[in-house]
Amino acid sequence: MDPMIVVDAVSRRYGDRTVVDGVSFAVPRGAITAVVGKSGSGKSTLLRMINRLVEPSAGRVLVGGRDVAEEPGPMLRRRIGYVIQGIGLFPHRTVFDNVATVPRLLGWPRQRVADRVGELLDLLGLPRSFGERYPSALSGGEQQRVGIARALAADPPVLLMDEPFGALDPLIRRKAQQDLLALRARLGTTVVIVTHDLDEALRLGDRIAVMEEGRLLQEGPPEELLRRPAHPAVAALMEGARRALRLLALVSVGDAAEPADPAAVGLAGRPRIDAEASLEEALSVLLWAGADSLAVDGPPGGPPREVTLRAILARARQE
Amino acid sequence: MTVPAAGTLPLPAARRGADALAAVLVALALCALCLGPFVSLKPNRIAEGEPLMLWSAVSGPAAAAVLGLLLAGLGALATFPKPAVRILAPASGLAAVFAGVIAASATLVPAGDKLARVSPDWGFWLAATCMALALTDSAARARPSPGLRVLAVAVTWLLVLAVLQAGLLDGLSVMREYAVRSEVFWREMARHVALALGSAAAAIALGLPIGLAIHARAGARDPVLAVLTAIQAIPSIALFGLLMAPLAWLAHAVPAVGALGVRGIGAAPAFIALTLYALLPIVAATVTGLAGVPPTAVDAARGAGMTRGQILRAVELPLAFAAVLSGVRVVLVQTIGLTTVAALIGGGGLGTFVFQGLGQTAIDLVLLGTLPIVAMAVTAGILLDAAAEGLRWTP
Ligand SMILES: Nc1ncnc2c1ncn2[C@@H]1O[C@H](COP(=O)(O)OP(=O)(O)OP(=O)(O)O)[C@@H](O)[C@H]1O
Ligand SMILES: [Mg+2]
Repeated sequence: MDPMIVVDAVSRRYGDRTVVDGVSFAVPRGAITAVVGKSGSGKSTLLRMINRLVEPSAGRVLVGGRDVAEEPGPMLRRRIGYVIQGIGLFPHRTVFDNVATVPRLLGWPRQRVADRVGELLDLLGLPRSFGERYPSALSGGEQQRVGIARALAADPPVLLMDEPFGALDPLIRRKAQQDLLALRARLGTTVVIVTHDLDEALRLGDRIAVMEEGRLLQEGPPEELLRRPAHPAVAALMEGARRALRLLALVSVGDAAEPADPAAVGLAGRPRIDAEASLEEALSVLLWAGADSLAVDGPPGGPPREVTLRAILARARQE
Repeated sequence: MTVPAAGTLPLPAARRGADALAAVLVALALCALCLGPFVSLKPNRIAEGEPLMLWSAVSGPAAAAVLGLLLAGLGALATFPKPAVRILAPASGLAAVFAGVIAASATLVPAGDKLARVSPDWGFWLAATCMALALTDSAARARPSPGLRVLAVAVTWLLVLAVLQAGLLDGLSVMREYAVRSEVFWREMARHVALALGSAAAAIALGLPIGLAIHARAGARDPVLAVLTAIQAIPSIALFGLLMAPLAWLAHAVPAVGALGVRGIGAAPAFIALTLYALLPIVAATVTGLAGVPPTAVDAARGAGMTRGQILRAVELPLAFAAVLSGVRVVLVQTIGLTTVAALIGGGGLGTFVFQGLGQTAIDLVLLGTLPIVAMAVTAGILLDAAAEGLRWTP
């Protein structure tokens, strides 16, 4: 299938500085690509060239197979959700009006706008009564969620997010990440997300793009970047010494579980772990319990399964 | 920003005890009344006035009542000033000295005497100023809501007009001046208001687009603001003078323009000069207001797919509104005052009386022009302040 977003040899210069330099990559339909890199490496500029908030100096961008330069910027941007770095809510408008921005620009009827705003507040775990508040009466994390709701309001097929979860505490951040994955699973949204947090990139990204000084060092599935970094800077970013654990974090227990022999002694007394958990967590539980296998919970009705230390070690080993 | 309703914020600790400022001001008013002449009595317009102390100007009990009231106010302010006392003490003092002037003009001018006149003297002026200051300070600290402020202004105007209408002040020298030229007064008043409001409106109509056009272009912004600042720095009379020659030439060269009443002197150059003066505050306020719009909000608006015009209407202008309104306030107050000078080049307005009075060393005539100007300027200031606060976007 055609990729949803194609970035083709795109550069951006400011004066004689090239802040994005010949970057090419594609985001498959319904995939999440996480862009990581140091501050000032050109991540935001790259993201903003996809919806033409920044015009490329060279190269082209296709969204849904069409060159974005063919369409007036405002029309294009109404179809692309954008979560701005630094929240950027309208301080003079209520939360409701902030979230309703794009649907109103698209001329949705009032009732549909109201229903949609309510739905989004629910989705992001904000009480509906917040609709009447002004952004100044919200915490940083709540404001950030309103910013995400605003970007999602018109069900855009493409979502660009610039460090969207930065102001959230770890727990809510985890929840927001799961919500994003659920959303993508439900609506098939194609997402490009810029983040400073490598764990977040690994958790969310189907693919990861590493930027440095305007250049794209490597782009590919997380496992590939961990196992075969194409550049010393990528290896450094993946924190070489911990990459075995990071690899384990990518795999769910369910994927590594093996059928357990029901006759084996003590299966019922063994420590248990959820099939949805990662192998990294499973390893931690094993180390803590001093055991060498765990009973796997779920899915319900299935045969009994276990995950063994040996299977985990095999997954973490260099190929 | 909202201003919390009165009473929700504890006053600063130092203010909870005696109200030192108001007390000092009221004490000063008392001294002024005891040491300075309250009014002076002139047998006719040009004769030298005879200064009279409060107790010679009004009956003994009346003088005692005025002084007693002030003393009581002072006592209250020095000991247990509740917010109501802080306002009531200077307000009643102010009312008392005005009542004193009314009483003086009633007792001192014999009925039927159309020539004798009473002018307030420096004892009165100082006392009234002190108490007006104390009242303003207390009123400001009570943080009245915008609506309440508008109401207070309206009530004050009605009260003053009622007192004037009832003829209570007819013995005052200012009113004597008014009596002989009431028709001219209202004509010049209307002219003054028309010139001031008209040029302020023109400045807003021109200044807003200029501000919008230059705020995003640093290359244009600095020169435009520099030119407008230079215009502001030209003394008003010189600016009127500078406009005379080109307008006279224009009226001569283009008869149609002359037929509209445009001349080198008169209302046209006055209007143009006042508009030019008002441009800087409007343009500067617009530029400041737009500069204060959070860039992330504009960026988010672009990101959401708003067009330039939609961003301007829905984001930039509402967020810059408070600043623009404060520019409008400056312009209105400034223009109402500056319109006085229009009289010098035949533009009319209340300045006519001011300059006539100065020429004839008839200070009462100067007051006839000045007092309404001050009253209108203060009113405009209060009303626009209230509007700016009432219309601000933040909850
Ligand atoms: N409008 C502009 N004019 C000039 N330089 C710019 C402009 N916008 C960005 N830059 C420069 O381009 C470089 C990349 O900026 P960009 O915002 O894309 O970085 P980033 O990777 O998103 O950084 P961060 O992680 O801090 O957000 C920076 O050095 C920045 O100073
Ligand atoms: Mg950035």
